[in-house]
Amino acid sequence: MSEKKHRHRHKKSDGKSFIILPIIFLVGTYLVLYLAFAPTFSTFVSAAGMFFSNNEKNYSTEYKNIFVPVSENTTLPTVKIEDKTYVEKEAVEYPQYGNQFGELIIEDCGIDNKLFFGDGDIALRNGVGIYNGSFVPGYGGTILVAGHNNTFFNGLKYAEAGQKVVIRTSYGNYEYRITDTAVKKATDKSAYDLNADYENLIMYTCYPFDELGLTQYRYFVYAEYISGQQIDKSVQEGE
Amino acid sequence: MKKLSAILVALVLVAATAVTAFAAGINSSEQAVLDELKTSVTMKGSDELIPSEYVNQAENYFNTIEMTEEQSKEIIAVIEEGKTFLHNSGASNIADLTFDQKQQLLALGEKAVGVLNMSMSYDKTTKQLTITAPNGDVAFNAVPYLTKDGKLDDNGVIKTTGSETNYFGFIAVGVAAVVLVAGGAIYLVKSKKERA
Repeated sequence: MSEKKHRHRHKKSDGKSFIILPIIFLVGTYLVLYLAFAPTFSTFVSAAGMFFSNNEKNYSTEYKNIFVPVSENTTLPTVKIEDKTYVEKEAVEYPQYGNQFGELIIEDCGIDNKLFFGDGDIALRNGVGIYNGSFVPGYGGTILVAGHNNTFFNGLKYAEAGQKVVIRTSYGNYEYRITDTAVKKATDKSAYDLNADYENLIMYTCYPFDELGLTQYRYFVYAEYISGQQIDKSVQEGE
Repeated sequence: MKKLSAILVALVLVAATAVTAFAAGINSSEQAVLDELKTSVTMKGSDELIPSEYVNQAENYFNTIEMTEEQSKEIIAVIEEGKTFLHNSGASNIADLTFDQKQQLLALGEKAVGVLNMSMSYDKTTKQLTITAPNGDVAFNAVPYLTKDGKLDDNGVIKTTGSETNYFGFIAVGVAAVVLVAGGAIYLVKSKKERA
């Protein structure tokens, strides 16, 4: 009788050891691995995800780099239109989708990232990316830049009005000043105006910062144009 | 000797002032296509527009190429054909078209981008239309639809910029970690019992 009881207790203890404890381990392991090894861990997660995803995702890290830094004293060919000086259009190599064509620097926020044209997977895994429905610096429109909140745009949490943003491209260096920050829903169309006829910079990342998983909020940082040669956009006769 | 030095000086000057010339912005042929893309199409009595974000994508791509007048005219003719097709479709938006109508519209799209040796593909699961440049680069990627105010209705502009979310990957790695830890625990318990 006492042997039966002992076996029963033993079974109960087995259930505890091999079912409940592993579940606790699972939660604990996630927490520890995420907090301590998130950057290293992501490689294995991505690799494992390849076996379970139906979508054809591009896990390649290859991209074309067309960025050649322009020093402060370099003179690019310019053209004068109605008393204003513009960079000659022939001197500008417009980036194609996925190209790294510059750098985005906010010293006060510890941000110094590669800047891509396009905000696809590869771009956001290697730096920050301009939405290809917005425009490049110097084009006189809205520049909408995305970056991950746990890596390249984590520093946006230190963004404050008055801070300087520098964008370096192969056709010139541009300076902007942060004017405002705001938390808005990702679906909020008032958060940006891609039809603006003046140059302005909008940077955003997921909010809250360091959030694991999906979030419906974004942290927007707005900046006004300060300096940098504008590109000649005059329409020329076709062939 | 004087001639030689003159040639050398000329060569040095040419090298020093040489600037690489790239595809030069928007020309009048490209502008004509952009203007056509900005005009509305009437569907079920309502004026519909291509979202301006999509027109911007076209403008950005046109900045990287040189379109001829002939190509421009050919593309505009196909766009107009597409507009007439949409007008006569009886649908109020692209999403409301029948499967056959969507196939016909896709064929017209392929014809238009084919003028520039580009290709077009449609992903049924994500509903994304992708236009690929001759060199394989993506020129356009979005869910195709029309709006009344020319602005995007969906969440296509703002991306997910949180930590890369791959739940299956997390689960797979998590399960592997648990198996390893549980296996280790079983081994330790067994070896402890054997020793006892």
